[in-house]
Amino acid sequence: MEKYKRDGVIGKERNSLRQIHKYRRQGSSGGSVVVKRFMLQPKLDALSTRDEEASADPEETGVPIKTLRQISLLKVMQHENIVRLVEMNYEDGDSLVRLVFEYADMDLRNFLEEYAAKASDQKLVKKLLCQLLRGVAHFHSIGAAHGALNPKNVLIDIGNENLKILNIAMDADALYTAPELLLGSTESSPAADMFAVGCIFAEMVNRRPLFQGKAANINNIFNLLGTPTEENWPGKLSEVFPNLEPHGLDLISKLLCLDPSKRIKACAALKHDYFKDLILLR
Amino acid sequence: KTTLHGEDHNGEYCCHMSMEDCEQALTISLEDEKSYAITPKYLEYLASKKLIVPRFKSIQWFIKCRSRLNLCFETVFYATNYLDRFILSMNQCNIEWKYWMVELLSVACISIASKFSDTTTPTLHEINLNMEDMEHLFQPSTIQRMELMILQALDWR
Repeated sequence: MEKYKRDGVIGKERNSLRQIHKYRRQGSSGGSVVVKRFMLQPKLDALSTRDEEASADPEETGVPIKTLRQISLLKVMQHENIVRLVEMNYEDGDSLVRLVFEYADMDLRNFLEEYAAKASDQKLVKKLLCQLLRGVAHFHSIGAAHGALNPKNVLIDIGNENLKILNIAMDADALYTAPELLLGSTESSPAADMFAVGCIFAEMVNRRPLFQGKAANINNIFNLLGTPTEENWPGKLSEVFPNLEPHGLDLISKLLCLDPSKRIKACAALKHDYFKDLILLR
Repeated sequence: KTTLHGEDHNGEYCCHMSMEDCEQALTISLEDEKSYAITPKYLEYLASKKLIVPRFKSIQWFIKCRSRLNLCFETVFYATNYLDRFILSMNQCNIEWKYWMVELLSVACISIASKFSDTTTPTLHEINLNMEDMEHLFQPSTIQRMELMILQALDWR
């Protein structure tokens, strides 16, 4: 880890008190990376017993199943809109592995704040949303779900306007959590990812979070989308997004659909009329 | 255009794919398959190290173990693939294969395979006990170290 220098916190790990840091690469290559630690042989000290990895008794089953599946998934996940795994470092006699991921210029939250003029270009919003959906569609195509999409783990490269999704099991942000999860369903799902995409889309259009407050709760969502009767709810959306074209409004209503089984799928969203006039240079 | 119905593991999510998308997906999968396949020189290596009979025995353990512990069939195929790829990856370093190494390797392979494909995974001890005609009984920590060696050799794929 000598090659890297700590450069700010980007979030917290899921089910753990450990923070995830961003590092700046030293020397000529430059650029930033994100590092995710995995315990392979959990130690019995006070700190690591709080981690989910440690709770699965190592003596019983060997390398924890979750760790095994996560790392394997990260290894096979290769897509232009998903953050790339750069290297793996084993430490402490192989009891710990550090996965190093490339980072982009900044996250979407910072982009919307620091580049307000550029970010208000509706063509760019369309281009970014398309890339976001492609990345999400890739997750779903291999039977996985991201589970914690929010503007902090959607990364942007300013120069070429490329978007990449960071996937390192961070804490989910309640403001982007689908209503079915707020109501007690615990499994993350492709449909819940699509609700988060809807919230991110809304945030890009209005350049502020769709649901605000200390913690989004079910009331905030129902205030906007109506309690779950299908007749009354899309009404308010056009008031919230006065500048959004009709196709965009239609797409956002399908992404924020309250019923997860009726919510639009990533591959269908990519074929939506909203993207009809988008020419992407590939 | 034909549309097909794809379902994911929990059976809720389906996605309409065109015929072209399916063909493309199949091509990619077949291409991927090659990177997990073993090469002709593997057989030579097995023969030179006198590993053909031990490998055959390992596969018999896998099959027995599957039925005793009620594991799924994929586990047997994955375990065999890991075993072959690991042995092949060792052909660069000149190691002297001992019989206990193959036994340890077999226990670790089926443990990893089971973690990927079964919903409930047996403990290391259960696996070891259920390979009853094995000559050795290994410490769980030893098996875990072997698991890590395999995962690193196979690059976690």
